[in-house]
Amino acid sequence: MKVEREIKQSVTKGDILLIISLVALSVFLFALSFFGSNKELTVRVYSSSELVWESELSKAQGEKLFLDGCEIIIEKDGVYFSNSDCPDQLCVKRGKLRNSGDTMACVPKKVAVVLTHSKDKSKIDALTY
Amino acid sequence: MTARKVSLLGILGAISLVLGLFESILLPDIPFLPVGAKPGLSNVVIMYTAGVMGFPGAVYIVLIKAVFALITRGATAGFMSFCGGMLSTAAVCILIKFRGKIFSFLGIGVMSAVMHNMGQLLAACIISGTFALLNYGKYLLIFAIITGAVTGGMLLILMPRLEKISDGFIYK
Repeated sequence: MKVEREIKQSVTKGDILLIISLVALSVFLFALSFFGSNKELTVRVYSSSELVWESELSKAQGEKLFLDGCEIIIEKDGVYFSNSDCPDQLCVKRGKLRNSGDTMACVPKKVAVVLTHSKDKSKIDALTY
Repeated sequence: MTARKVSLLGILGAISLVLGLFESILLPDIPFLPVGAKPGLSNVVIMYTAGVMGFPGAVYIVLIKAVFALITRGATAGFMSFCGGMLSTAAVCILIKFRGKIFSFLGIGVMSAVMHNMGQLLAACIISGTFALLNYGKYLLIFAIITGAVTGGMLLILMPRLEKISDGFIYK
Protein backbone atom coordinates (compact mmCIF):
# COMPACT_ATOMS: atom_id res chain seq x y z
CA MET A 1 0.00 0.00 0.00
CA LYS A 2 1.22 3.43 -0.92
CA VAL A 3 -0.14 5.11 2.22
CA GLU A 4 1.42 2.51 4.46
CA ARG A 5 4.82 3.04 2.87
CA GLU A 6 4.41 6.80 3.22
CA ILE A 7 3.66 6.50 6.92
CA LYS A 8 6.61 4.18 7.50
CA GLN A 9 8.91 6.60 5.71
CA SER A 10 7.77 9.71 7.52
CA VAL A 11 7.50 8.47 11.11
CA THR A 12 10.71 9.43 12.92
CA LYS A 13 12.61 7.88 15.81
CA GLY A 14 11.57 10.89 17.86
CA ASP A 15 7.89 9.98 17.42
CA ILE A 16 8.43 6.46 18.68
CA LEU A 17 10.57 7.65 21.60
CA LEU A 18 7.99 10.29 22.55
CA ILE A 19 5.10 7.83 22.53
CA ILE A 20 7.04 5.18 24.47
CA SER A 21 8.16 7.68 27.11
CA LEU A 22 4.64 9.09 27.53
CA VAL A 23 3.18 5.59 27.91
CA ALA A 24 5.88 4.83 30.49
CA LEU A 25 5.04 8.05 32.32
CA SER A 26 1.35 7.18 32.51
CA VAL A 27 2.09 3.64 33.69
CA PHE A 28 4.33 5.16 36.40
CA LEU A 29 1.59 7.60 37.47
CA PHE A 30 -0.94 4.78 37.73
CA ALA A 31 1.50 2.59 39.65
CA LEU A 32 1.98 5.40 42.18
CA SER A 33 -1.70 5.46 43.04
CA PHE A 34 -1.79 1.74 43.76
CA PHE A 35 0.49 2.05 46.79
CA GLY A 36 -1.45 1.48 49.97
CA SER A 37 -4.75 1.38 48.15
CA ASN A 38 -6.37 -0.67 50.92
CA LYS A 39 -5.86 1.92 53.66
CA GLU A 40 -8.54 4.07 55.22
CA LEU A 41 -9.69 6.89 52.93
CA THR A 42 -10.45 10.49 53.77
CA VAL A 43 -12.79 12.74 51.80
CA ARG A 44 -11.93 16.42 51.52
CA VAL A 45 -14.27 18.93 49.93
CA TYR A 46 -12.99 22.30 48.76
CA SER A 47 -14.96 25.35 47.74
CA SER A 48 -12.99 28.12 46.01
CA SER A 49 -9.79 26.38 47.16
CA GLU A 50 -10.80 26.46 50.84
CA LEU A 51 -11.25 23.22 52.73
CA VAL A 52 -14.88 23.26 53.83
CA TRP A 53 -15.49 19.66 54.83
CA GLU A 54 -13.34 16.68 55.80
CA SER A 55 -14.12 13.24 57.13
CA GLU A 56 -13.09 9.64 56.94
CA LEU A 57 -15.07 7.78 54.35
CA SER A 58 -16.26 5.05 56.71
CA LYS A 59 -17.51 7.59 59.27
CA ALA A 60 -19.40 9.72 56.77
CA GLN A 61 -21.36 6.96 55.06
CA GLY A 62 -24.72 8.07 53.76
CA GLU A 63 -24.04 11.77 54.25
CA LYS A 64 -25.22 14.34 51.73
CA LEU A 65 -23.52 17.69 51.23
CA PHE A 66 -25.10 20.68 49.51
CA LEU A 67 -22.63 23.26 48.31
CA ASP A 68 -23.07 26.07 45.76
CA GLY A 69 -25.75 24.16 43.86
CA CYS A 70 -23.82 20.87 43.92
CA GLU A 71 -25.04 17.80 45.75
CA ILE A 72 -22.32 15.42 46.93
CA ILE A 73 -23.18 11.97 48.26
CA ILE A 74 -20.82 9.88 50.37
CA GLU A 75 -21.21 6.12 50.41
CA LYS A 76 -19.33 3.18 51.83
CA ASP A 77 -17.20 2.61 48.76
CA GLY A 78 -16.80 6.14 47.43
CA VAL A 79 -18.05 9.64 46.87
CA TYR A 80 -19.82 11.25 43.91
CA PHE A 81 -21.66 14.30 42.62
CA SER A 82 -25.32 13.33 42.35
CA ASN A 83 -26.52 16.68 41.13
CA SER A 84 -25.29 20.07 39.99
CA ASP A 85 -26.93 23.05 38.34
CA CYS A 86 -23.91 23.71 36.10
CA PRO A 87 -24.34 23.53 32.30
CA ASP A 88 -22.10 20.64 31.23
CA GLN A 89 -22.66 18.17 34.11
CA LEU A 90 -19.12 16.78 33.79
CA CYS A 91 -18.92 16.41 37.57
CA VAL A 92 -22.01 14.19 37.61
CA LYS A 93 -20.79 12.12 34.65
CA ARG A 94 -17.46 11.61 36.40
CA GLY A 95 -19.09 8.96 38.57
CA LYS A 96 -17.87 7.66 41.88
CA LEU A 97 -14.38 8.21 43.27
CA ARG A 98 -13.09 5.05 44.94
CA ASN A 99 -9.29 5.25 44.96
CA SER A 100 -6.84 7.29 46.95
CA GLY A 101 -5.53 10.32 45.12
CA ASP A 102 -8.56 10.55 42.86
CA THR A 103 -10.09 13.97 42.39
CA MET A 104 -13.13 15.49 40.81
CA ALA A 105 -14.53 18.96 40.52
CA CYS A 106 -17.43 20.96 39.32
CA VAL A 107 -15.20 23.61 37.76
CA PRO A 108 -17.86 26.28 37.07
CA LYS A 109 -19.00 26.06 40.73
CA LYS A 110 -15.42 25.88 42.05
CA VAL A 111 -16.27 22.81 44.13
CA ALA A 112 -13.62 20.10 44.29
CA VAL A 113 -13.55 16.71 45.98
CA VAL A 114 -10.33 14.91 46.84
CA LEU A 115 -10.01 11.36 48.13
CA THR A 116 -6.77 10.66 50.02
CA HIS A 117 -5.23 8.27 52.52
CA SER A 118 -5.98 8.95 56.10
CA LYS A 119 -2.90 9.28 58.24
CA ASP A 120 -1.56 5.87 59.05
CA LYS A 121 -3.55 4.73 62.08
CA SER A 122 -1.51 1.61 62.72
CA LYS A 123 1.38 3.55 64.20
CA ILE A 124 1.39 3.37 67.96
CA ASP A 125 1.21 6.73 69.67
CA ALA A 126 1.89 5.53 73.21
CA LEU A 127 2.17 2.36 75.20
CA THR A 128 1.45 1.97 78.89
CA TYR A 129 1.85 -0.97 81.15
CA MET B 1 -3.49 40.23 5.08
CA THR B 2 -4.52 39.24 1.61
CA ALA B 3 -8.04 38.25 0.55
CA ARG B 4 -6.79 34.72 -0.04
CA LYS B 5 -5.52 34.48 3.54
CA VAL B 6 -8.73 35.88 5.01
CA SER B 7 -10.94 33.48 3.10
CA LEU B 8 -8.76 30.48 3.91
CA LEU B 9 -8.79 31.39 7.62
CA GLY B 10 -12.58 31.73 7.46
CA ILE B 11 -12.95 28.29 5.93
CA LEU B 12 -10.50 26.69 8.37
CA GLY B 13 -12.22 28.38 11.33
CA ALA B 14 -15.60 27.08 10.16
CA ILE B 15 -14.22 23.55 9.71
CA SER B 16 -12.74 23.55 13.21
CA LEU B 17 -16.07 24.66 14.72
CA VAL B 18 -18.02 22.01 12.81
CA LEU B 19 -15.55 19.28 13.86
CA GLY B 20 -15.82 20.45 17.47
CA LEU B 21 -19.62 20.40 17.30
CA PHE B 22 -19.55 17.02 15.59
CA GLU B 23 -17.60 15.39 18.39
CA SER B 24 -19.53 17.03 21.23
CA ILE B 25 -23.03 16.41 19.84
CA LEU B 26 -22.84 13.32 17.68
CA LEU B 27 -20.35 11.26 19.66
CA PRO B 28 -22.05 9.87 22.79
CA ASP B 29 -20.35 9.64 26.15
CA ILE B 30 -18.38 6.45 25.85
CA PRO B 31 -18.05 4.46 29.09
CA PHE B 32 -14.56 3.81 30.51
CA LEU B 33 -13.23 6.94 28.87
CA PRO B 34 -12.23 9.90 31.03
CA VAL B 35 -15.03 12.41 31.49
CA GLY B 36 -14.70 15.48 29.34
CA ALA B 37 -12.20 13.85 27.00
CA LYS B 38 -12.85 14.36 23.31
CA PRO B 39 -11.05 13.09 20.22
CA GLY B 40 -9.88 16.62 19.36
CA LEU B 41 -10.57 16.40 15.64
CA SER B 42 -10.31 20.17 15.26
CA ASN B 43 -6.69 19.80 16.29
CA VAL B 44 -6.10 18.58 12.73
CA VAL B 45 -7.21 22.00 11.51
CA ILE B 46 -5.04 23.85 14.03
CA MET B 47 -1.97 21.81 13.11
CA TYR B 48 -2.62 22.36 9.39
CA THR B 49 -3.05 26.09 9.94
CA ALA B 50 0.15 26.19 11.99
CA GLY B 51 1.88 24.43 9.09
CA VAL B 52 0.75 26.72 6.28
CA MET B 53 0.21 30.04 8.09
CA GLY B 54 2.40 29.87 11.17
CA PHE B 55 1.59 30.92 14.73
CA PRO B 56 -0.69 33.94 14.02
CA GLY B 57 -3.04 31.92 11.80
CA ALA B 58 -3.27 29.07 14.31
CA VAL B 59 -3.96 31.51 17.17
CA TYR B 60 -6.82 32.92 15.10
CA ILE B 61 -8.41 29.46 14.93
CA VAL B 62 -7.89 28.99 18.70
CA LEU B 63 -9.61 32.33 19.35
CA ILE B 64 -12.56 31.43 17.10
CA LYS B 65 -12.99 28.16 19.00
CA ALA B 66 -12.66 29.84 22.41
CA VAL B 67 -15.17 32.60 21.57
CA PHE B 68 -17.59 30.00 20.20
CA ALA B 69 -17.26 27.96 23.41
CA LEU B 70 -17.73 31.16 25.45
CA ILE B 71 -20.96 32.00 23.64
CA THR B 72 -22.44 28.51 23.52
CA ARG B 73 -21.17 26.89 26.74
CA GLY B 74 -20.26 29.73 29.07
CA ALA B 75 -17.20 31.44 30.53
CA THR B 76 -15.62 28.35 32.08
CA ALA B 77 -15.70 26.42 28.81
CA GLY B 78 -14.37 29.43 26.91
CA PHE B 79 -11.43 29.93 29.28
CA MET B 80 -10.57 26.23 29.26
CA SER B 81 -10.76 26.07 25.47
CA PHE B 82 -8.47 29.12 25.24
CA CYS B 83 -5.86 27.78 27.70
CA GLY B 84 -5.75 24.32 26.10
CA GLY B 85 -5.67 25.73 22.60
CA MET B 86 -2.91 28.27 23.26
CA LEU B 87 -0.62 25.78 24.99
CA SER B 88 -1.05 23.13 22.29
CA THR B 89 -0.67 25.69 19.49
CA ALA B 90 2.55 27.01 21.01
CA ALA B 91 3.90 23.45 21.20
CA VAL B 92 2.85 22.68 17.61
CA CYS B 93 4.42 25.88 16.24
CA ILE B 94 7.74 25.14 17.94
CA LEU B 95 7.82 21.47 16.92
CA ILE B 96 6.64 22.07 13.35
CA LYS B 97 9.86 23.97 12.65
CA PHE B 98 11.69 20.66 13.07
CA ARG B 99 9.10 18.65 11.18
CA GLY B 100 10.68 15.52 9.73
CA LYS B 101 13.86 15.94 11.79
CA ILE B 102 12.76 15.32 15.39
CA PHE B 103 9.06 14.56 15.08
CA SER B 104 6.74 13.89 12.17
CA PHE B 105 3.10 14.93 12.41
CA LEU B 106 2.53 11.78 14.48
CA GLY B 107 4.69 13.07 17.35
CA ILE B 108 3.47 16.63 16.86
CA GLY B 109 -0.13 15.39 17.14
CA VAL B 110 0.59 13.48 20.36
CA MET B 111 2.44 16.45 21.85
CA SER B 112 -0.36 18.78 20.82
CA ALA B 113 -3.05 16.58 22.43
CA VAL B 114 -1.05 16.19 25.65
CA MET B 115 -0.43 19.94 25.84
CA HIS B 116 -4.09 20.68 25.12
CA ASN B 117 -5.10 18.52 28.08
CA MET B 118 -2.42 20.06 30.28
CA GLY B 119 -3.66 23.55 29.43
CA GLN B 120 -7.27 22.65 30.15
CA LEU B 121 -6.38 20.92 33.39
CA LEU B 122 -4.31 23.90 34.52
CA ALA B 123 -7.25 26.16 33.66
CA ALA B 124 -9.54 23.95 35.75
CA CYS B 125 -7.04 24.13 38.63
CA ILE B 126 -6.82 27.91 38.37
CA ILE B 127 -10.62 28.38 38.25
CA SER B 128 -11.39 25.97 41.07
CA GLY B 129 -8.22 26.82 43.02
CA THR B 130 -7.60 23.14 43.74
CA PHE B 131 -4.34 21.88 42.29
CA ALA B 132 -5.04 18.31 43.44
CA LEU B 133 -7.09 18.11 40.24
CA LEU B 134 -3.81 17.58 38.36
CA ASN B 135 -4.16 13.98 39.48
CA TYR B 136 -6.86 13.57 36.84
CA GLY B 137 -4.10 14.14 34.28
CA LYS B 138 -3.03 10.52 34.38
CA TYR B 139 -6.37 9.43 32.92
CA LEU B 140 -6.25 12.16 30.31
CA LEU B 141 -2.63 11.36 29.41
CA ILE B 142 -3.37 7.86 28.14
CA PHE B 143 -6.30 9.13 26.15
CA ALA B 144 -4.25 12.01 24.72
CA ILE B 145 -1.55 9.65 23.45
CA ILE B 146 -4.16 7.70 21.50
CA THR B 147 -6.19 10.62 20.14
CA GLY B 148 -3.03 12.61 19.40
CA ALA B 149 -1.62 9.70 17.40
CA VAL B 150 -4.91 9.43 15.47
CA THR B 151 -5.19 13.14 14.63
CA GLY B 152 -1.46 13.41 13.94
CA GLY B 153 -1.65 10.31 11.76
CA MET B 154 -4.51 11.89 9.78
CA LEU B 155 -2.38 14.91 9.03
CA LEU B 156 0.64 12.75 8.25
CA ILE B 157 -1.36 11.23 5.39
CA LEU B 158 -3.26 14.40 4.41
CA MET B 159 -0.47 16.98 4.47
CA PRO B 160 1.53 15.83 1.41
CA ARG B 161 -1.73 15.74 -0.59
CA LEU B 162 -2.91 19.13 0.65
CA GLU B 163 0.48 20.63 -0.15
CA LYS B 164 0.20 19.21 -3.67
CA ILE B 165 -3.18 20.79 -4.41
CA SER B 166 -2.20 24.15 -2.94
CA ASP B 167 0.61 24.41 -5.56
CA GLY B 168 3.18 24.76 -2.82
CA PHE B 169 1.51 28.03 -1.84
CA ILE B 170 2.55 28.72 1.71
CA TYR B 171 0.68 31.58 3.33
CA LYS B 172 3.26 32.65 5.86
